[in-house]
Amino acid sequence: MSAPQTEEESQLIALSREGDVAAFSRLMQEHQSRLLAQALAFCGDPHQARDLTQETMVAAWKGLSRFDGSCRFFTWLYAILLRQHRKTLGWFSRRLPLATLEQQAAAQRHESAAAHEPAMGEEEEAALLRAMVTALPAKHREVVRLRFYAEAGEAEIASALGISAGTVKSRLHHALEKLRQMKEKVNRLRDSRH
Amino acid sequence: MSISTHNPEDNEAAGISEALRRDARRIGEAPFDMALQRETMARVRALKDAGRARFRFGFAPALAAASVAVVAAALFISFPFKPVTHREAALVAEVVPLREVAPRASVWFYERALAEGDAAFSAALDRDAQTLLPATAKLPEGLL
Repeated sequence: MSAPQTEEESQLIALSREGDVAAFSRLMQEHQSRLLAQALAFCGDPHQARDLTQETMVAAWKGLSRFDGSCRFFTWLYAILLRQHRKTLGWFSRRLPLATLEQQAAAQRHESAAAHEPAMGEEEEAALLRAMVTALPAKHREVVRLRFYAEAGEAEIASALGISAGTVKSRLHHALEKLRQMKEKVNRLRDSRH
Repeated sequence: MSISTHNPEDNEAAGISEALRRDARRIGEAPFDMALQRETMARVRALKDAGRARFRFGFAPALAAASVAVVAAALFISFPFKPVTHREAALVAEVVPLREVAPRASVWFYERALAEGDAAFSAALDRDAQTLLPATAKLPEGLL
């Protein structure tokens, strides 16, 4: 879990709220690298990831007055990143077609067969896992990303998304169940190959 | 013989959670992008300046609107609710006879005249006598 809000960060947030651009810049310097890496993991395209990160930081400046400190600043930023990503995806944000997952699995099957490798590499497993998360409905995808990628607790997620802790727990449960089912499906596809 | 309540699905769900955590660790941090930082801060500064200008230019119309409202309210309060029409004024002119009003005798007036002397006092008495009892007036009966 990443470090809790420091005294310095609290001061920078307070100054930024008063309109201090230098303080905000310092604050963003602290989080840019992590945000950019996460954005890159979402979209896969460096240019899109850069745009997404920039939109997130600008949206954070605009909405800074709404940050009430009930969650870590990075969790709040991450929730904005998710919203911006959803905005970018537009119609597809609700749910990417499950075909995406099947195509991914088929492509990997083909690659594995071509290379005569009995098992998938770590990178491929990671790519498949991300594809599975992307295939989740938006509300499930958000809690999974906040929980595992932003390392936020349930209460923090609830605060960042403006929902109850019970709803977070339920969404997380359903999301993990769906991921488990997807994994099962992929395993069946793999087995059918042999 | 013990009955196992272990659910293999729980294991798989735990496996998914662990895989997600592993993936999150793998993502880590990207190298700091100075150009991105500069571009973003330029946009933020532009937003701040735009906000400031909006406040400055937004203040003048607000002040003008407030002034207009104050003037309108003052006019509304001072304006007669039912203005007298020309016809009403003419009616009043017909009903109320216009006549010359003689200066009224008063204690102050007589005291002043007395202070000026007998002549002034007599003149004051004569003037009021002319108004109250003109030469053309009939004497009340039984007075003499």
